[in-house]
Amino acid sequence: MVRNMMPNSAGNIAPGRSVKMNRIEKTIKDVVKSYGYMDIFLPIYEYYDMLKDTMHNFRDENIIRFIDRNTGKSLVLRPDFTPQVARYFANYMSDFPLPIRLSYNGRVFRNVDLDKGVKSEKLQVGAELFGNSRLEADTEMLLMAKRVFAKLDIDGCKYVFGHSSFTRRALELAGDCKDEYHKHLAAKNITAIAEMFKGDNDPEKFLRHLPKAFGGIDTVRELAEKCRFDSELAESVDYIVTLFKRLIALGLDPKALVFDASESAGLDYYTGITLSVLHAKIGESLAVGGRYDNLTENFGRKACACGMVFYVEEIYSVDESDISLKEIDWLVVGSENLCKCEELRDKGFSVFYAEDEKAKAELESSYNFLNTLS
Amino acid sequence: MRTDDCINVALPKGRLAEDTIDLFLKKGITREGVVDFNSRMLTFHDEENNIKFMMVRNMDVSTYVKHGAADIGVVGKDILLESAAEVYEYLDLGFGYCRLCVAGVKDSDLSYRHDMVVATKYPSLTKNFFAGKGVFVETIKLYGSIELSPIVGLSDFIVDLVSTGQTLKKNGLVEVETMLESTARLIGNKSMAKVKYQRIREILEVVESA
Repeated sequence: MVRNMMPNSAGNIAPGRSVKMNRIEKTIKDVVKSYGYMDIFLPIYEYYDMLKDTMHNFRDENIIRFIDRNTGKSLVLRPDFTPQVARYFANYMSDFPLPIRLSYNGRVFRNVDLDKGVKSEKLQVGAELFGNSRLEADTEMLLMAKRVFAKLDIDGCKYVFGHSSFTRRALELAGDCKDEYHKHLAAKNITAIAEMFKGDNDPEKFLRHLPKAFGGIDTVRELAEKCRFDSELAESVDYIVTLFKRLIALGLDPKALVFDASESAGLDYYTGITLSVLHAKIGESLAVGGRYDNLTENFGRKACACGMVFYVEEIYSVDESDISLKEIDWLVVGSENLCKCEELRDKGFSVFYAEDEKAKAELESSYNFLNTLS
Repeated sequence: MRTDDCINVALPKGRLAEDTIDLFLKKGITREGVVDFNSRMLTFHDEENNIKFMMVRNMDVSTYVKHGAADIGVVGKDILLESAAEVYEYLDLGFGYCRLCVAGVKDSDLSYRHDMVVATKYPSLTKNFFAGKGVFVETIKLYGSIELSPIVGLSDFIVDLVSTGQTLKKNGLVEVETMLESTARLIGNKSMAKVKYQRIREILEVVESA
């Protein structure tokens, strides 16, 4: 039976839901555009070899892979846009002056475990900024996110920062236990870390404190005190303090800013700050971003870079805006009215045409027509 | 209903939930009379302390936490390792001690060999454990009465939780070795840790304090 055959974790989006999804996608695209980003279209599949060294969190278990019948090489359904954008920037934009701002939208694909309540496709809108100085560009990512959520009327977002240089330095301080410390730090395993470092010296006290160091501006200040013994750590924390001050001066609610000192995902990918936009209504991020100054070098052009990607489905799930989902301006019934339809469309109205008067009642219960002509 | 500052706690029905509530009472995180273990209700709301408890199957705790339906939860280390859930594992709570053991039929050859079949609720942990010993095994996932399986020839060995060893003995099985010692862990959703950082950190601080 093919009647309801569908691959596992693949999804349809119903007509009503699509109205809201489109609205969210368009809002993000408009905001990104207002910061001067230029849209590019990118391939839906890529060579495995291109992605394996250039993508954050690239694992065989997470990708959907198939074989190119011409070359025999592995192909992967696009799991992430960023390497593609970086390749485009490095190879095809050498005649553009820096900074370069590129944006994109579309679906990414991933292999997911069955029955975990997650889909294999995700709709994204993203922006990447190449060749701009650190603080300015990092700030721009956040302002863009703030503007998107303000336009969508979504309150209560938390902007959560990590700092990959800070975390890398902390791992160095763990010395020979670096890998074990990294594993426990990623799990914020307070008990295991307390077992590892029992000493009373500054570095050990700091390493013990780190899994608990997540919170607002007070947490950052407290952390700054605790890492004075090491100039590299202090420099990273000072950067966060400066960034927070700047963001607050630019109108961000101080309570919305969070720093997570043990954020340790993608340490071989990110080179500076990382950012996730979170919300109490959902366990997943609404948007993520960060600085990745080493990526474009893989494609032959070295440039500092940072980016931000918005997850449309996740934003949908916190968007409570009341939108009439299947709203259509006119229902026009009967072949004698057919020419009227085009006249109305010429005037900018949406028109649903139905031939049969008998279907009218049923149509009116399924859709929300603002006017009817029959 | 998820609100901005209410803390939702997923607890595994049974002893671990009771021990957790005892601990939370002692630490002042909740008050007496909120959770009634004899009722058939699945959620309990402590409005005074703005905390909610939900009773779920032990295997499901990490799922509720992973998706953020619960901000924190309590689950055995055995289950946490088996599910490999992407959650924070804040604290070892010390209670809920149990051992995950390999057991076989009494008076039979209890040496390991390649291609033997092991029945268990923990196929992933079991495969890793035997792979670490250089022994390739096939696992059969069962959901209960694991002890039956080697007796009726479904498997050569079992891997299961053992407390006193009485159930093994009554069914003609003997313990071969301990695979893992487990205690209860306080786990947390990765996003909610940061969204509700004030309350989560307060809870961690009081639970951690002696």
